[in-house]
Amino acid sequence: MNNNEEISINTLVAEYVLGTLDKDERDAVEARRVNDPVLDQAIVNWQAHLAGLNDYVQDAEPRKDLFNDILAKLDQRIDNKAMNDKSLHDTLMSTAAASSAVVVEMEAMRIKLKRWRFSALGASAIAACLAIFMVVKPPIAPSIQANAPFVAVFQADDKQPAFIMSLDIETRQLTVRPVTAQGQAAGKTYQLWIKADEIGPTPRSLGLLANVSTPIQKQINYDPAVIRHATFGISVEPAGGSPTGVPTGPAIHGRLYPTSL
Amino acid sequence: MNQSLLSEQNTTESLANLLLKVAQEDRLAFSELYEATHRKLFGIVYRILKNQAASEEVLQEVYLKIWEKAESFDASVASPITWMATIARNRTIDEVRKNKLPDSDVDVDFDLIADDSMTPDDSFTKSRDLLKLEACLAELESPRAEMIKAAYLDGFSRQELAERFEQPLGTIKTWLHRSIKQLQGCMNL
Repeated sequence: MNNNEEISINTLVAEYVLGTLDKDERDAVEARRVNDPVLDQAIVNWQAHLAGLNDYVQDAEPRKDLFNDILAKLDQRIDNKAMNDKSLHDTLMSTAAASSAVVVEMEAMRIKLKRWRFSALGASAIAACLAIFMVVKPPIAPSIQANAPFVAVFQADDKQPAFIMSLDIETRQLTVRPVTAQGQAAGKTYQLWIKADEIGPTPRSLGLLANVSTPIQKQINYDPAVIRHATFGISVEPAGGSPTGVPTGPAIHGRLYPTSL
Repeated sequence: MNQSLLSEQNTTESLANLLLKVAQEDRLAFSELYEATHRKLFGIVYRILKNQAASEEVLQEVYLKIWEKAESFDASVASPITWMATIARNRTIDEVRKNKLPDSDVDVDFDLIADDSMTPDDSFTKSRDLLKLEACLAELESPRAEMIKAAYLDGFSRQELAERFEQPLGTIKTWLHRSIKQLQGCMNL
């Protein structure tokens, strides 16, 4: 590279950062940047050189609800990604790469849980204090985790959990013990749900948690392997339970994890 | 928000921490980051586009990009606010070069812009970057420092600079290239 060419690259980069290049020139610089670390570094340098000029800019105020729109677009993108992941999931399942698919599924859950955690801050007080804590005996599996209990924590904030749920996976006996959960207002009740691909596309009710002042026992008639990988949820429903057969009120969801490595 | 906080070291650190959390898809941190920075970034976008609705549209994309790219933020390369401002400027310049925007909300008064650009926002302590840059800009022949500022702050194309400074396009190109070369030498000292 001769000296003139170096100078012209430097000029090109500086004009790129200044913003005076036209569209085609900008596109060319951006395309070239991907595979040209020298060019990339020159851009970073000029950005640092000129960044001080931003101090001249006076603050300005966009409309108040703009951040909500940003979050809505973010959700849209995550949903699109989840749909893509779902097709990936199906592909992987059919090509016997089941373990990868489970990771994808769990990742999708994690994203949903995060989204819930955020939106719960602005949601009803009921949702904000609702949390489940599940302790589950290990499944009958010949692994090093044989004696480690499984646990799932789903909390909207740092407050105490609202419920502890323990599950004897051999007898499929479920015990929900209220911790800080308050009795529901008149006309409302908690409802417990299970969701797993093996069971169907929608959550299935495990019954109402009508009286939260005492531990509640439920028998779950699903295969232990399904229970182990299922998603559990507690939603707030009208008295008598969800009128539609699927959760309609604020809900949180979670899965089981071993408590030790 | 106290805007002058942005120039303080602890705020730089807390913004960096927020970006770190945003990289882990923490929406609360994202919300705090927005609260702490959106007026500054919107100021950058609006100054170039000079249209409220178009600027709001671009600002949304800017924050979505910040969310996506937070993972690649490197505190050793740029300060958080510089990194975010770069994303905002890039996106805005792309927009303004891409197509003709709707008519701006305000009639652009070049004299006003020139006056405005001479005074940094008082609530900001002048950054070291700016002090050095100002010293280097001061060495440029008049009115080339103003031209550099107009390009950077107002997003003027070469053609717009030619109109603004009442010079042929070729002269603007020469001014730009010579100014860049001179600044390069000065800044790297």
